[in-house]
Amino acid sequence: MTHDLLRFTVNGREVAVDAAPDARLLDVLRESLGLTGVKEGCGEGECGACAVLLDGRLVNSCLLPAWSAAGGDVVTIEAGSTRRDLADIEAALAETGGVQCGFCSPGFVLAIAALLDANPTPTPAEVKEALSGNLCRCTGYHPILATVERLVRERTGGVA
Amino acid sequence: MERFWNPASLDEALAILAGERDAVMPVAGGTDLVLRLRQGRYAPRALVSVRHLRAVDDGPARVEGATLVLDALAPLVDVIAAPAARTHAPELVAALATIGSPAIRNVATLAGNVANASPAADSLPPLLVLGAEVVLSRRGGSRTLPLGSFLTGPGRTARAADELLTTLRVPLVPATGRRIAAFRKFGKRRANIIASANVAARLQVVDGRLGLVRLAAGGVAATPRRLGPIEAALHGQPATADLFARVEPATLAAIDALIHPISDVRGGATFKRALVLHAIEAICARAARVAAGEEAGDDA
Amino acid sequence: MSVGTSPVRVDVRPKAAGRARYVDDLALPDLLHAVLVTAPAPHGRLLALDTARAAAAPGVVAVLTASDVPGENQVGCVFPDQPLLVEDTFRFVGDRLAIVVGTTRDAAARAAKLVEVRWEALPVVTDPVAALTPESPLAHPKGNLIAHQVVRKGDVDRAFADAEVVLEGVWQAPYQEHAYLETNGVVALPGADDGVTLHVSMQAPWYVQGAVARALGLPLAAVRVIQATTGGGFGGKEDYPSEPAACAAMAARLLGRPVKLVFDRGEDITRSTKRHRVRVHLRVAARNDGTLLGSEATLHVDAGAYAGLSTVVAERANISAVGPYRIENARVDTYVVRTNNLFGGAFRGFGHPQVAFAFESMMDELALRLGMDPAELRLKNAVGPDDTALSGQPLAGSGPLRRVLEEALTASDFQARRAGFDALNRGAGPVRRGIGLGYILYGVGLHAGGQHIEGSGALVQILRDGSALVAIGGTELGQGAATVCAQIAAELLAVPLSRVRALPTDTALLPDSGPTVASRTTLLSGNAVRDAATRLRERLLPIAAELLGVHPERVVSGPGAWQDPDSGREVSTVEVAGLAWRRKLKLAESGWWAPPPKRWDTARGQGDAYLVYAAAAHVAEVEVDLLSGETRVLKVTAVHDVGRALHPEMLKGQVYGGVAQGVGYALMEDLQLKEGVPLNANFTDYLIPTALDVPDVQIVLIEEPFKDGPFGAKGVGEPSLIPCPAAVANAVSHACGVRFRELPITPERVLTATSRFMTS
Repeated sequence: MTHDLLRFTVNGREVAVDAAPDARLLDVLRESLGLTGVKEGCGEGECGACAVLLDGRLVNSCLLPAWSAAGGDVVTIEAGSTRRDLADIEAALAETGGVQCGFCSPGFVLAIAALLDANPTPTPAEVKEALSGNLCRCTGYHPILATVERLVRERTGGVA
Repeated sequence: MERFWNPASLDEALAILAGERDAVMPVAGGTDLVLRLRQGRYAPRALVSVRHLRAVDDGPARVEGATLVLDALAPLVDVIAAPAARTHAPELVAALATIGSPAIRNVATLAGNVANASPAADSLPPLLVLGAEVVLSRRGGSRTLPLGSFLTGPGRTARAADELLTTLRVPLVPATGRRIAAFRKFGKRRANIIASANVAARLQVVDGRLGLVRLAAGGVAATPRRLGPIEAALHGQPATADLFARVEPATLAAIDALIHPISDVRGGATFKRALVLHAIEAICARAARVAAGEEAGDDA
Repeated sequence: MSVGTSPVRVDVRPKAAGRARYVDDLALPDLLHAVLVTAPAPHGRLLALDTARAAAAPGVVAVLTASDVPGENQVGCVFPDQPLLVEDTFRFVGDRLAIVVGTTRDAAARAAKLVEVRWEALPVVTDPVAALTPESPLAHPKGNLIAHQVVRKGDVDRAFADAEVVLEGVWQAPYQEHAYLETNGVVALPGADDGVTLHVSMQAPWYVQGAVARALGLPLAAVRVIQATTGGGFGGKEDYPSEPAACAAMAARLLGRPVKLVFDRGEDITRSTKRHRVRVHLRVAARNDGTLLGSEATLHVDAGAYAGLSTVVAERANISAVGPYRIENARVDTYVVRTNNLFGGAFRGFGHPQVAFAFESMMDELALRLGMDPAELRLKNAVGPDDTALSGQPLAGSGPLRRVLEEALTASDFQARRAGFDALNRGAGPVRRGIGLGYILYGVGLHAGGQHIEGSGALVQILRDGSALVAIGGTELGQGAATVCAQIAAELLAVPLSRVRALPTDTALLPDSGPTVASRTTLLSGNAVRDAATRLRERLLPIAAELLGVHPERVVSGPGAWQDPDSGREVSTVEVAGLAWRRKLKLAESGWWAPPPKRWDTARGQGDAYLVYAAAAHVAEVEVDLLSGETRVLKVTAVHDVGRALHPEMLKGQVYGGVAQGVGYALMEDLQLKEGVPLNANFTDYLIPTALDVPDVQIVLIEEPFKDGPFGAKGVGEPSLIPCPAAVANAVSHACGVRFRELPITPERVLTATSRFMTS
């Protein structure tokens, strides 16, 4: 049975991909589009390594049917080369000890971006809650939480 | 799988469900369904996405007369933020906020959580204490069922293959006295877990006594359920520090006919039973503190 | 100055940007994908394996079984007891039956389900104690006892006869799954000749080289193993990767095309190694004043069916079984036992967290029994520089020892907090508070039994533009090995860190440098870099002196320049390197470091077990809700003896991470097995801490330079975890007023011990 191509926007670019009806968004991004910055850590929506932004909201791409993203606006970690906000988060994470093995890092960058878009001055409790769906096994989270603190300080000009 | 439908409207979605019947499954956020499909639990010929659809035009929660209407197709994050839901169903909002993680709550829906009918689904005990009704839409009509009747077994509901769960209707209870609307989820860590057990409570403390008492427990039986006999034992009782001590015998006598926990990876049966009993104990203690003015209720 | 500062790590910007390429990100022309078919049950005899339907499935190129192994069908890491592919008997659920190779992973995975296995069940051995009885069925033809290791020190029977108090108990330490975010994976490429090159997510390139050479019947020199960017290891990628690597290499060699093999999470948890389950039976003899007289420990280490690294893990558990205390009389018997359970292997701490949990718990119970403060009891018995470790090894030169404990007690305000919680807990409410201590002495580097691999190499180059290249034998797993070694090179060569590049570990560049384990990497690889870079420095310094016009003894170096401090003049590294190049000086050096041989008596478990010791103490504060059984760890105070912090922020990162893993092990990581089959081999039900589960962490680093460490550094990778589960368990026990002797202390275990509804 033939089907149309799956069309959506990725990192500002319109794409049209031949995707099976049961493909996950994760598979389309990594394999059809070569966006290997999006990682598969668990395949169950538990670790957040596959997180992307879909229409501005953080989603686990391992659980989203690819065709559910038709017409949508997807942002992956690769958008960091064109989006200043993501690049700033990447730099802060790298500089504050928030990256060790790095496998969880792209997911965290996007989770932090989603948090700060919705809430530019989160409390420490709100930060932990917002990042509660991203697992890290290396850093114990403290350096990542410190990263967010630093970003909030920078964005609010030191008045947090 | 042969096809993934992206209908542009609810009518179109219902038409597809009517046409394909058992061969097609609706998918909203997909956070439960996609996993089950990959595990091979289901093998539908097609999926019909309702992720972009909404059953209610002006927001995920609104009051119509004496009813709170919830859009079952709205992402949980939007229901959690909706003022009408926060005012009239705080125990439900508290429960939804514990489901999964932020990324999951951005796409998961009440339709999914309720229609998947996991015995440990977090939305169900609060919806039960709220006395919620489920609205099932099909091409050309709809029907309304009490939630308790909708849930027929673990992972089983009264939804026909051509029906979609579109809204939930909660009759508003007139506010008298001090309200307690609580939800508690039990598990081995503080985020992103399937509950070992969960308990919801809606109480009213009027002149130092318990007026309205509604309790529901999940994760401890084939379906989440109301704890009727325990509610009856508590109804009318003075909300004092020895409240639970007074009703403990009746509670223990009634509990094993009400819940039948099984031992699984989330805990042993005796443990899950103990959690429910302790939850009731904690609710009684809270009611006493509220009655004594030591603590605020969950008033609107 | 690079060493001692915390510059941005050399590897992190590409990782944060999603540009770093892990194994599953590698794309190659003609790439094939392999999926493994594993055992249908924990123990069975293979009657028939029919691969015809699978081989005929769409997209499948080949299905390989034991008879296809070109070399030796043997992959045992220490003992030759483990087939690469099952020939007649499978002995645990991760045993491999076949390799299905397809053009896509999906095609191979679908075909894998078509492999038909006819088998008959064999008895499943699940209990390591029962496994040693004569009636027990055999988990493996070589017998259920792999090894019996001992410590015999002093006169234990006399100590117990003289004792005023004797305490005895059994502690059960569970499995722990590494849960590195990146699962095991490998890409193998066949060479034009008979050789093969592998890119692997791993900690031990030379183990992989050896395993592949053996399975393919190749000389070691024909197997090149290169480290891929690795998403965490924690010991789980020490020995295990050799197994999928040998499978992928075999497929690549036989099919003449590159093969990628990556596990999904369920496969990884089920098949790969775990922290060993250990049963610890302790007896302690003491005087009423708290003086420890003697200790007896019997350990049962559940290895699973194959030995793997279990005897090596047991060696460390064996010698660490009685804590950092002065004990003149000790008897330890460590039994390494085969079962058909999961595959025990290396995991950060390597047997020590399990015994530390038991012994530190025993210390608290002894304190309770004697009516002593648990801190006082430890202070009374803690070893000092004039004492010896359990192995009889003198502790002079091992740094602050006791001071670590004292600092932890001060920094955490232990005694006052404890008294406060005692008062609080006497109240009626369901919320209890507790504080607990874990104190350990960790032997840095490989145990004496492993000294035949305790050596490590490095390559350092300075280029004509003053930039530098470093290659080390240790692998970068996320812990910062590449950065620390780059810092050492930067320091000695006067090159700014930003102009140093670290190469991925590659067996073609360096001699066998051993595995990245045992908290040895800064020490071994760091010293190897120091060795090479020092020789280069000795070549560059005279050139700098010449350019500055001063005597070489006057010259000092900083990042990017060499200076004459008296005149304040400086000359750039670029200029010095450029001139050295033009004069055709040798600008590359290979480095090597191996500690002097250790004397060791296996029969008594006595001698110089380790190069040096590092003490560590954690104090945990918890809050327990007796209505739900849930524990929140509020705070951990972590005090570490590190020698020298070469990169303080990165070192603290190890402590934050170790505490998180320790909290997980103590409270929530609950790998459940039923008759050898894991019930929760997934992240939905095997729970590791989230950002909401980690405590506040206060870190105190004590720096007393270690004379043999690079710039005085020791090792912290494992000490950062080892005391934590003990501290948390002691805190929960304190809060609840009952002793917990089994981990994890889940809400169910708390309610079982404290709730009236658990008995009615």
